[in-house]
Order: sequence, then C-alpha cells, then structure tokens
Amino acid sequence: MDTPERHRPVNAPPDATDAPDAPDAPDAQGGDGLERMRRRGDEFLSAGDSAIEGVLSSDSVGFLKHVRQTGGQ
Amino acid sequence: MGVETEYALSGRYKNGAPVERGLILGGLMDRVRETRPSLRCGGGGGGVFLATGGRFYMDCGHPEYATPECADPWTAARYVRAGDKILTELGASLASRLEGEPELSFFRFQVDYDVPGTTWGCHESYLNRSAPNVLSGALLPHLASRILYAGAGGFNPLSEGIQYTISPRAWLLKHDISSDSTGNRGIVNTREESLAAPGWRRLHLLCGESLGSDVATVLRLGTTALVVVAAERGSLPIDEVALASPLDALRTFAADPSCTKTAPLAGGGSASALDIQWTYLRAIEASRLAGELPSWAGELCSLWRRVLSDFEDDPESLSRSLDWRVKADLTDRWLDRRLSEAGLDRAWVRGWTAILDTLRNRLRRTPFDGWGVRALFEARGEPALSALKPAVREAVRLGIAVDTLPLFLEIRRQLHEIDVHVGEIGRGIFDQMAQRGLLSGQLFGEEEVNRATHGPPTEGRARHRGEAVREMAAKGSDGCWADWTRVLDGQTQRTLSLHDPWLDAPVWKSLKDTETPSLARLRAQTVLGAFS
Repeated sequence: MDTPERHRPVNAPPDATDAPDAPDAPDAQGGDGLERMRRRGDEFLSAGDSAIEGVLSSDSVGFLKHVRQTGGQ
Repeated sequence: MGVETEYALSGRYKNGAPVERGLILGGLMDRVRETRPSLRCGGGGGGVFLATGGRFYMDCGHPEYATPECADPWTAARYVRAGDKILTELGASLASRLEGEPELSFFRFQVDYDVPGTTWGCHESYLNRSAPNVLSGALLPHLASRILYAGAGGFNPLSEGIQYTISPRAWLLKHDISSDSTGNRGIVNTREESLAAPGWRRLHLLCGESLGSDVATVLRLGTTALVVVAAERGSLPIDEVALASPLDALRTFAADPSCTKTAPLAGGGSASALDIQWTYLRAIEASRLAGELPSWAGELCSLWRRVLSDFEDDPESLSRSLDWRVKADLTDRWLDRRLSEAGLDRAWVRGWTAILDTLRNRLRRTPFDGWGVRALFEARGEPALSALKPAVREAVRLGIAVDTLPLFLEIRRQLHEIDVHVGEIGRGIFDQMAQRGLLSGQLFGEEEVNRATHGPPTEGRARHRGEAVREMAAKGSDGCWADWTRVLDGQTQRTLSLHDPWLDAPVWKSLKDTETPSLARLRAQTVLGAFS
C-alpha cells in the first residue's frame, strides 16, 4: 500500500498539506501569504483564459456532433 | 475497489475531415495488442487484459479501461490516471501510423447536451458481503451528497438554457434504486455480478463521473468504500440522514454551486449536502476508533475532514483542486467576459434560460415536442411561428431583444465545447493547468503513474492476473486468455483461479482437475478462436 508521504499533492511544498501557511505570514520570497495567493490565483485564471481561447473551435456545432457520435450508454 | 472509465473521442484529419470511428476503435485494439503485454478476454468479453491486471476494451463505440482491483483509494486513483495515460499513448501510436497522421483526442466527458440520455459513464465497483438492496438505505444519502467533492461540473443537460451544475450526470438518473445500467439508471444500481467466489459481492455504482482531480477521485472512492464497510457493520446513523427523496435531493444539490440549499429528510427537517457528509464522517470516525475499518481509513478521514472544513472556512481553495469548482471558475470568467464584450449581463442569460425552458415544457405533447429551439426558430410556416409566440411575448416582457437569441445559442454551444475541452486527456484545459502546477489536487507524479501503466498493484488477485499476463504474453499467448476470475494457459492446459479477491499466492492447476462445463465451453471457444 502507498505510504502517506506519497499522497501529498505533487506540487505542494513540504508540509503544505498538513499546515497551510497563515494568510499573512511572510514567505521566503519577500511577499506576504495573501499576495502570493493572489498572484497564484491570477496566474490560474489567466492560464485558464489562454487555454480556453486555444481550444475553442470555429465550429462548435460540428465539434460537438463529432464527439457525440462516440456516445456512451 | 475499481473504476471503469468510458472515454469520448474525436479524430480529425488536418483538413478537418473526421476519421472514421471504426478505424480508430479497431486501430486502438491493434495497437494495444502490438505494444503491450496482453491476453485476450475469455468468456465472450471483448478486449484484452493487460499486465496492469486491468482490462482495455471497446464498448458501445468508445474505448474503455477498467482498472485492476485495488486495495485502497490512492492506488485506485493512480490506476485511473494510468488508464488515461495508456489510452493517450495508444492514440499517439495509432495516429502516427494512419495515413495523413490525424489528430486523435480522448476526453473525460459526462453527457451529451444536445441528445440528453447519451452519456459516457464512470462506474465504480466495491467488494463487500451484502446485497445492494441491504446497503441502499445507507448509501443513498451519501451518493446524493458526495457530489460536493465528486461532481465533475458542467451544465444541466435537461435545460435548453445555460445552468451550471455540480453534476451533469445527476440529471439523467431516473430512480433512487434500479437494476438498469443503460436507460432507467438509479443512484444505486442493484445488478448482481460478484465476479468472485460465493460469499463475496460486488457493489456496482454508475452514478459517478470521470474526474481529473486526484483528490476528488480518492475521496469519491475512499468515502464510498468506508460507507459500505460501516453500513455492513451497522455503524451508520441512517435515520439521521435518510432523505425524503434521494433523487430530488441529488438534483437540488447538483443545481446549487453555492452548496447551501437543503433537502427534506424522511424523518422531518432538512439537511444540506455538507450536513449529510459531516454526519457520515463523524459516524465513520467513531467506528474507526473501534478498529472496524481498513488501515487507510484514518488518512482518508483526515483528507475528508479537511475538504469538508474547506467548504466552510476556505471555499476558494477548492476552486484549485475539485473538478466542478475548477470548471465553474473558468467558465464563469469566460462567460462574464463574453457578455461584457456584447454589452450583456447575467440577467440576460437567466432570462433566455427561463424563456427557453418554459417553451420546451409548453411544447411537450405537441407536434414540436423534442424539437431543438434553433430548429423551431429556423422552421418556416405558421405552426412553428405560433408555437414560438409565447416565448417571443415573454422576451419582450423581460426586455430581452428577440434577435439576441442566436448569440445566446452560440454562447451556450461554446460553453458546452469548453466543457469537453476541459476534460481532454493530456492536452485539455484541466490537464494543462495540472502540468503547470496550478492545481493543488494532483497527487501522483509522472513516475508513479508510469509504473501503474505497466505493472499490477501489489495486493490481491490483480497482482497475479497482471503477472500471469506478462509471463504468458512473453512466451506467446496462443490459446491463452484471462477474465476477472481466472487465467487459462491453453498451451500447458493449466488454469489459475482468481475467485479469491485477496489471493495471496498463485496456484496453477491442471485443467483435468478443474474442468467444469462452463470452463470446457470457454476452452473450446478459445481453441476455435486460435484457429479463426
């Protein structure tokens, strides 16, 4: 069976799953926790925007129909 | 426990022409046989068993992977992710061999929005000792409320408008309990097929959805397995959480991304999905103290507690880990931007949604029942125009310009397309963000997933199936096959029984000593198959 250590999120720093940083605790990069979370949130959203723009086709109807043809049960 | 995932697919040549579906499905089976150790499925089942102990096959026009049986939810979630990887590798291998090198894509996707009823399932199996109808009372409130963390997110497939939902599949379930797996599906499925020795049973659930978040998959499987164990031991306060109507409650919870709505309880009063989940967790933690649960229960309960606490204290954190929260954030933001560009707002979306859903209900039992709204608007002639008049009057009453309907329908379709692309395996929106480290619910590194694409789990019968597949494929597998309960070596006339789910050591026996009428029939099929 897997050990607990292997159940940590792959991108989590040590102990991040057990003891989240206090929101206002200074971090090693010189910012504060809230600022770091905000930056990460912005990065998440702008990455999502780019990813969506990158995948939307000019023919949604055709794309959805094409996928539908492999419909499940 | 184990998971079966049905994948949607798309194949396009560079000029946009579609790849014929049979070419993809047949090609994937050819590639899996040529690139991976495998044994064909016996017993009339299609596809092959792999050295992972899992099964890869084609079902109803789509590829499907059933993980090997796993002893804990982390291992099971890792094998789910491995299934994604196996399929994408086969797809890449196939694409490079097809003329024109088309682009093949595979998706974790739940429901077809234009043809409600068409779904891609993600079924779960749990080993236990009790009949499904004995467990159903304890399971129903859990299954109705676990969508809090196990919902895939998407849009209500029964709405003609735009309604975000925590669980698209919830809307296509028709009963609390049912034995039907393709049409009249229930929250709890009562099909009995143990695939193990007498005394063992397999609870087979088909209300779940395929997920990209590892944390969500672990919780979905781990909490349900614990509920099954606790229910068998009578350790759950079923009366406290029994719902007046589980199906109605599921839909109430699915329609409420704020997660605050409550559903009536059978004994009076009401409870939110979060209330119900807390009740289960506390009851199971109490029974854990009595040493009644698996060794991994403590760690699972800690994760469960942390996620439920986050719903109360830090819900924002969940929008970076749970599928439905990630999807909600991304589609909300896209929709707001699209509306802003057009000088419109959410009231416009709510208005058209109400108008179109009212119209659809009004058209039931008329000649236009089931017509798509676009088809109705594009139809010529008095009957169609008459059918539309109430909708037009309602739009005017709400101050919505009727000529904005095409834009509404376009945005709706684009949201559905985004939903498909969020779940594209490997290069979709969710997986892109996971690869960039922007999601916090991903538990397994590439190396761990790779291992699960090649070898079996270390516990139980899946280990011996996987090892047998590897050994027999290496020496040439003519006349050999596997299924969930046995492996047959036609060359040495021996069979390995896998009826014991916790089989510790493999014992191969001569077919002469184990022959039964059904095995003889299967063996005859195998011999015939080898020469066909």
